[in-house]
Amino acid sequence: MTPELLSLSNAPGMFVAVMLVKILAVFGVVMLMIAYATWVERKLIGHMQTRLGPTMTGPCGLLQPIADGLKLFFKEDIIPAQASKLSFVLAPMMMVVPALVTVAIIPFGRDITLLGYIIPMQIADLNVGVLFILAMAGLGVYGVVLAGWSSNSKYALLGGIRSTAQVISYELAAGMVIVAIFMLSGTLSMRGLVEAQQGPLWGITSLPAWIHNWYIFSQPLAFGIFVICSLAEINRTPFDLPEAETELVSGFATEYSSMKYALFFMAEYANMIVLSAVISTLFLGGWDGPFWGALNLFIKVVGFMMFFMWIRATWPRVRYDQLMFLGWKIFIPLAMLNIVVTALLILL
Amino acid sequence: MVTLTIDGKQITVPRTATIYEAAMQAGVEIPVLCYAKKLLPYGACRVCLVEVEQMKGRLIPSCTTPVTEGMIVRSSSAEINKVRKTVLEFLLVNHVLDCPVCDKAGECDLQDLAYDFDCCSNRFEGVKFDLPKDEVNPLIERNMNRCVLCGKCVRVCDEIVGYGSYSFINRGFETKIATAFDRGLNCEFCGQCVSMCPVGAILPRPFKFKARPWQLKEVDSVCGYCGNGCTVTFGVLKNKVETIRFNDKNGVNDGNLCVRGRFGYSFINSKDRLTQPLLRKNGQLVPATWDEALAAVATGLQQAQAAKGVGILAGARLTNEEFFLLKNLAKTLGTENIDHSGGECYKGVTEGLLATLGVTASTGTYPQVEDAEAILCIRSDFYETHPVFGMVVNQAVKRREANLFVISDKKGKFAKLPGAKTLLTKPGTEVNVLNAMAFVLLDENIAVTEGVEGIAELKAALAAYTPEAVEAQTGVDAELIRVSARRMVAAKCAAILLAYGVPYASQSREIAVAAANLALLTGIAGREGSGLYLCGEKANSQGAIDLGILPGSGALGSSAMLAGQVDALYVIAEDPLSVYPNRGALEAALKKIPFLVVQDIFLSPTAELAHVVLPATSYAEKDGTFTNAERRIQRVRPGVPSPGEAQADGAIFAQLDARLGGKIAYTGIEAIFAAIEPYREIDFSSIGAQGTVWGGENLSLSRRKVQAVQGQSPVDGLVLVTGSALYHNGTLSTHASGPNAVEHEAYLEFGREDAAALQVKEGEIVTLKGNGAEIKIKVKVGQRLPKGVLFAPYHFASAGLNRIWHGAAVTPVQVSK
Amino acid sequence: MFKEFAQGLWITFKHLSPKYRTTVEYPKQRLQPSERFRGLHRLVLQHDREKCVGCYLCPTVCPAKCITVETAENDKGEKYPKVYKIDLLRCIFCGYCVEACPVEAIEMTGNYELANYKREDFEFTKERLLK
Repeated sequence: MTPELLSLSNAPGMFVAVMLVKILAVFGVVMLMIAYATWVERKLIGHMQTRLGPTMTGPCGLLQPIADGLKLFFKEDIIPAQASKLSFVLAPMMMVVPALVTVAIIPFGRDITLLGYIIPMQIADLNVGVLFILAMAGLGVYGVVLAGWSSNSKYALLGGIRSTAQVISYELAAGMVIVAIFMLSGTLSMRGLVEAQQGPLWGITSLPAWIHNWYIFSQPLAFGIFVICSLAEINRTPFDLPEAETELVSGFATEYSSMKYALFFMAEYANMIVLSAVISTLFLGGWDGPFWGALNLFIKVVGFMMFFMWIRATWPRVRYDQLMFLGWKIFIPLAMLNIVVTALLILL
Repeated sequence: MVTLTIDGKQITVPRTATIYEAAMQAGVEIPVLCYAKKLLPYGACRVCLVEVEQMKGRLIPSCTTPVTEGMIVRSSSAEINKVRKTVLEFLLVNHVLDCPVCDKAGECDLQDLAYDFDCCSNRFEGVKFDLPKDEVNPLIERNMNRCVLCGKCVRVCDEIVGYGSYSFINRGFETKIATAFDRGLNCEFCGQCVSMCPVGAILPRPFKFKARPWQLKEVDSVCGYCGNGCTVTFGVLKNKVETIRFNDKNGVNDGNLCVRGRFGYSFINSKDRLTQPLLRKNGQLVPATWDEALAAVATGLQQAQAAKGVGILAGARLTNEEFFLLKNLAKTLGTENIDHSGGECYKGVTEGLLATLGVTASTGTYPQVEDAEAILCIRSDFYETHPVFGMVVNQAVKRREANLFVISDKKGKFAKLPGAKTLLTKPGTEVNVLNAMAFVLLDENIAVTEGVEGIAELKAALAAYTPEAVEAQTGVDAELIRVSARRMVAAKCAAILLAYGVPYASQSREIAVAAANLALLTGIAGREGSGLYLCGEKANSQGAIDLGILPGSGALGSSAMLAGQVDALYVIAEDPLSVYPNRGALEAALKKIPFLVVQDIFLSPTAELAHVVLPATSYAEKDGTFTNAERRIQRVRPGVPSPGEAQADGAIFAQLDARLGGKIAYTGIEAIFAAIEPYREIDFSSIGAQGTVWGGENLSLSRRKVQAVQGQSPVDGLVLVTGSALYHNGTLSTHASGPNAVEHEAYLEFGREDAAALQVKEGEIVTLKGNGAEIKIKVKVGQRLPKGVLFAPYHFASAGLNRIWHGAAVTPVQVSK
Repeated sequence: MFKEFAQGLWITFKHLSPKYRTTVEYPKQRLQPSERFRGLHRLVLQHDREKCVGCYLCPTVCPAKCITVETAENDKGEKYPKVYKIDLLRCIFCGYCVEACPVEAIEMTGNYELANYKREDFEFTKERLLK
């Protein structure tokens, strides 16, 4: 019997069970990564700035994320009297959920066969995966805007508005960059994208077996633009204008405290993880690599995250006009040019 | 005038000026240690040396050298500075360097000079002084190790105070300032030496180690004790008056103060001050809120006004503005029963003067007394009632050789002044002596009669007062009466001084008329540079008279009010029970008054009887003006906030007035002052550091009419007279630790003869009987009193002197052990 | 531009190396303050009393106005500071008080561990300063 793709129709019980296991595993890994990403960030940036980062909670401060979590959990939950209550409560959730949902379409390994069924190492294989990612990224910004607006505070509102402008500007460039990828792969499915990057790089067979025609090699410009736009979309330095401490206190999160604030925090790191995973999938062959599938992806994701942190430790925040200039006058034309050039190359 | 050049500046100064004074005028600073504006030049310190072109070869002390025409002076050069520095080094050879613990540090002339001339080390070596400190008395500390022998203390005590406590003793390096026989200081404790000392050798003990001069906030105000109106400068630290600072730039007192002014500030900080209103509930005075208290007062007064009426009795320690508001309050209440201070002590005097001269104030100013050629003091030694005025007389006598005549029943400090003549009368017969003097003037036809009415009547009435007859009656030498009368009329500028106050109430109208007669007959009254001085007992006695805090026609005066002819009595800043004559009767009457309100700063015996007690503020907490005995209006400024909830009298009056339906409110002191009718010609903002004298330097008289008054025949046997003691004023000073440190209880003063005859010794307690009452009192033996006269000060409530004294000038008494 | 970006990244990367570590892990590891360090004040004792004679120069010179002195006379008639208080919350540790003192009665120690829980605990009275 040739193994067939496990689906709700051929083995409902097993499908549900496998699905649950996959979801739990992915969710668990992501949550742990979120928690320890904070630790890594503090340690890494600390050392880069000749400090130490957390040292007192547990060995090397390893318990710091837990301590932080507990602290935030037990803090008084303040909702400003003038805030719009429902949206105020809703906003943090609206940021976390899309971030986490996006993880569902990231393929994290080669399919495995179990009991005669092919089980894809991916929670859901959407044929419009990339669009889904863009959609979710677009949805995430609603959380920021809502948080800023419902707080009824000028700092929060400014933060929210900046975020909107920023995300709109950079989502365009990011979306257009991906167009070039589709043109090469011919699919929008994440799974398909990974598979499309499995061929030999430029037909050279003497390279190590695991080096494939990842799109980073064929689309270096797209890769660069997408990485930078990703930074902008998840509001990381040097594009963290929505929460610029120097001018906006804490931006959209100014009025938040306790677990709601923690949710913003989680959302930021979740976004970081997801985008790292997306970049890895789009440009670095996803789970493809010298090691076991999921491990490859993990290494790539961690690598990107550390790179993001490294950037944070190094570069100052851009000015708002610089941000807009970069988005509209450089990246969008470049992305368009990239499409044209790619199209021409394909035609030839 | 002489023109000279100092440091290239040309300046024209009077012929009598010294180089130093000329330099001051030219704005050239010359350092000094021993110079003081009010003292005669001395030239002890040699710091003020200057170069004079015409006297080359040596340096000239600028403070003692008179200017000459065309002098060319250089105030500083390398050589002068070298010499000055050497002088300082010499001074510092023996001078202990205890600046860190010396209270003078920071305002020490020697310290400043050492700093200016860079005296960091000394080329000379010597042994530092190690003399014992004089800390025997509680007010003035002397540490001769710090002395620079400038002699300012010696000079001020001699020239100004006229006491002569100090002198230089020993020679050479051993020279020091000491008292007679080098004993502890025992003087009037006026503290003039403290204010003069350029270094930390003489310091005020109450202020010892309290603060540094630079920490103190200085507030210029007016002393709240007697009517002399000396300006004082409070040294305020953390909202507490810690000391009185020396300041000779303000007022007319040249920085001179008496023991009360300089050390009597401590009652301001007293713990016994009233800090909240008290209300009588179930026979007990219990603390209440202002609201309750004022409501109680307003209702009480309104009810009483509807019945027999309300009486208002104010002390003369309120400001002019407060008196004005009080009058407003009385108007709102609809009562004319308003009176001030001292059981009508002012009354006879003002009536007498009004009838003869048509004025109710002094006709001259203090600086004129300094230039007077002849001075007549009536009844009191001014030293006790107005010590700083006494110092003015002193300077007139000592510097200008004025002739001083004192008509008094005791030989006080004036008697010791060079050339002073005391017309020692039997107590209560001053009028006889004054009449005799008037008789002499008319008899010898030397009197000024032009424009004076009633000469003939007076002449007829004085027929019985020949000097010989008066001598027989009063014991004053007839020739002395003649001499003094002739001198008073011959002098170009002369002054007649007359004090009044609670203890001097008897026969006051007669004395005032007799004095006014004399002032008219000698031409003193109304003449430029001369004057009759009417000196009130309290800080604003003159203000109270000027503002008319007097009963309206037909209304009740203080004695009638205190006799219980009103249904409510509002007593402000006055303690009748303690000092008004005849305490027994007063007590009975006050207890009968249905509603008694007392507004004071201490819970006085009168306040203890009150139904409502309102806490008021002292002079150091008030804003406003006082009018002194020479009609000088001076600014009183608050140095400290009032204690607890206490409020300024003016504020209380304003609130009461509003509660009683008064319509007019004032925005501040300036607005109130502008509304004061008698002072309408004076602009509040123009009252400067020297104050403003209303009516001009010499008040013009509105009438000149001599009147006949009769004297009294003397009382034989042992008699008691009362009056002011030097260290106290009213009852207020008995709450101040400074004056109390010198005299804290009542005493009965005996002359030596009487003491010997009655076999009483200093410090003994005797029983004094008179007017059906008896009190126990401590004995003091002095040299002032003639035989048969005893003196007791009236200030001390606890002694109960006013049980015996019923207001007469003389009270026959018996003394037993 | 890219060179500069790279340079920046390189600098931060370099600092990952432990040799750039500057942090002193304070409670576990303490630095020895220099001799001239200006920490908590100390009033010097002399025989049975403080050396201070209450000259008021330290509160006068103090730019932060954190010193309160109230003097009085002791049994021997000497001037002594009845109250000597330093409000450490206002003190800026400039050391002028030490410089101004004519009798060398006040010093500054190396004690820099001055945190406290209550405001009142920052008021160093004479007794505490004499220890």
